[in-house]
Amino acid sequence: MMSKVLLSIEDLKVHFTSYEGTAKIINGVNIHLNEGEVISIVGESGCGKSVTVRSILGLVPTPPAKYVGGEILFENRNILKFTKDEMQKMRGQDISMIFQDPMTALNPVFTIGEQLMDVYMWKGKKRNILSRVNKKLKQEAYSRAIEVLEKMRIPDPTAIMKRYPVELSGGMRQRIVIAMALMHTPKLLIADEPGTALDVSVQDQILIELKRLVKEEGISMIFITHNLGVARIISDRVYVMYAGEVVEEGDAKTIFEESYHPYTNGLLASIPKLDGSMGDGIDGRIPNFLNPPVGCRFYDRCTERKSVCKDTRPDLINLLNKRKVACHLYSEGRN
Amino acid sequence: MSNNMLEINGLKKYFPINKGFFKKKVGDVKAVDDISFTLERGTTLAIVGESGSGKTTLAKTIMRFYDPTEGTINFDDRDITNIDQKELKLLRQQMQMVHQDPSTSLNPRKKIRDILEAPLLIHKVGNKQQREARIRELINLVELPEEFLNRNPHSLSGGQKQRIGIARALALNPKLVVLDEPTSALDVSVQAKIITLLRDLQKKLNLTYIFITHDLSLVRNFADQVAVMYLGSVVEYSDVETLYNHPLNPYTQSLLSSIPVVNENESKMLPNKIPLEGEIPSPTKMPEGCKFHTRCPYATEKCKQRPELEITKYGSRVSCHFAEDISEGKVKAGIR
Repeated sequence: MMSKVLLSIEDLKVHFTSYEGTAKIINGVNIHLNEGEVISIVGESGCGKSVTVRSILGLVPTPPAKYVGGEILFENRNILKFTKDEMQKMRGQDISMIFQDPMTALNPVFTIGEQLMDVYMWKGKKRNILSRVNKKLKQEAYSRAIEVLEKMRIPDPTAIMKRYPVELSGGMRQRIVIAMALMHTPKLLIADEPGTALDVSVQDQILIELKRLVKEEGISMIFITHNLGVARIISDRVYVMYAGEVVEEGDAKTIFEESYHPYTNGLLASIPKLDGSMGDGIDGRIPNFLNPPVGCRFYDRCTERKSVCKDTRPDLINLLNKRKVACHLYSEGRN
Repeated sequence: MSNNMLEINGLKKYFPINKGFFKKKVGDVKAVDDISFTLERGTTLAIVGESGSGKTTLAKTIMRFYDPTEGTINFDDRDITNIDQKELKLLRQQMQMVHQDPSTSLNPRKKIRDILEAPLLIHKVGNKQQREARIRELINLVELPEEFLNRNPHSLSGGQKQRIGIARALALNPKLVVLDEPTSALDVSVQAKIITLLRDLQKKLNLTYIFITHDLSLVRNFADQVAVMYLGSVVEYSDVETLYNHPLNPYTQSLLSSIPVVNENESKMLPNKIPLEGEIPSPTKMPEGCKFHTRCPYATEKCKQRPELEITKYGSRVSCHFAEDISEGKVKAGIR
């Protein structure tokens, strides 16, 4: 059975204008997401994972950003062509986002209840000072907020609604941020490194809750993380990004057992293992985006580079078993 | 000269809670609550625990940033529990610290050269030429090019900044270096580089490390001894091998079981999943008896009494009434 594609990012190119010149940050990213699927985008800081997903919600300020190519199709409509109103209507309703840091994502001067209900009551209209608060809508919002909090298994939701963010622990705040994203039961949920600011045990609890909720509600999710272990636990498919390009794609179960791209290999080797082994890391640093290499962007740091890598950009090619890799070491259809 | 760099005995650090107009003392935050251990020269002790468990306070008390409430600290065969400020300044040459976030622990307005020279100036080491020579030696030690000396911190990457942080800590030839989560702000590929560097430096300079972290998979690769902390107490203390092969305290087990691993082989090495409920309690309202009993799946009536750190058959020290029973599967979770 072929499931329906919910979102597809086709050859997205984003440039940023800066004082020193144009930084070519995103260089042809292809990502697709089926309905009910969970995908992860992994990569180190500066690989463009956040810019890619923030583009889906139109959260990248233009300028300095400039979309020079490609399209983002959500239910076959190009998001990049949306007007401001259309975009605003879609945010929070069809697509919502969980932000990274639960300490800063909540407003400290409003109670949890007010913040949750706001998300529900906002229907795309600006509120003027004379307009009356719709009591029925408020009632609805209140009961929905309680419902979502109960779904998140937060103890005593009615009491939590009256609390301020400072009164809650980090883990609890992260749950509130997730609950807020679920107020409208979106079709697509984008999670930008939730739990990285938390302890492992709390992060673990939150990932379990999130995974369960997404499955129960049939929400598709894009999960961004730099922790490969977390990506393996939560997702069905994984995209590995490096310097604004997707370098490898594959099933979450197999991609880390057998990886092909030298970058993925290096990344996997760098992770401290439980048997006490750990690689030496990857030499060098990410390329300068103002003047990126013409060929493979990993060229300078690659241990297996060939002369062809310097001038020709490798395409993302299909290998066997639904694996894709962008590297000159491999050829189409081979394993 | 004994074999031990550090001997800690019954160390306590309480912070008073003052309330009301007259700031009357109403209680204590027991940040470090009766901790004892010894640390051999040239080895690494990892202190592991969730945030708020008192890891950093313990390290800072050992370094005498805080005055201990009770207990003794023996550093390099010398009692340093009550020495005065003047002696303390001399002592600080022997113990240095590498901070968590390299972007905030380096002064953005100073050149790298000035940052590295600062400890030498404070402790009045050498003349101008000698200091310059030492700075060059240091930057080579952390494997950075010498032209970096004229740069400002913002032009360096995270990993390079952390290398400068390490170089600064090593400027005065310390014997003990406290590493406060030195890699938590870095990417994994950079983290591996920094850990390799720290290991090489330890061998080369015979350093003793106290390594504070919450990343248990890193501990396996770096430390010799591990102390697992929970709410100011050490709940398990053992060497690395024993901790990973025979974790006995339920808290250690649950911490280990929640490590996100990347492949099937590794997940087999973890203990069975132990779900932890809730979060670490507030240290102002410390639970009676075993501090962990509010979240422990094995907790019974007996846990209302405080367990002692006892030596187990594997040689580790564990504070749990049921440590051995749990490891032999005699006790099941969830019966309260």
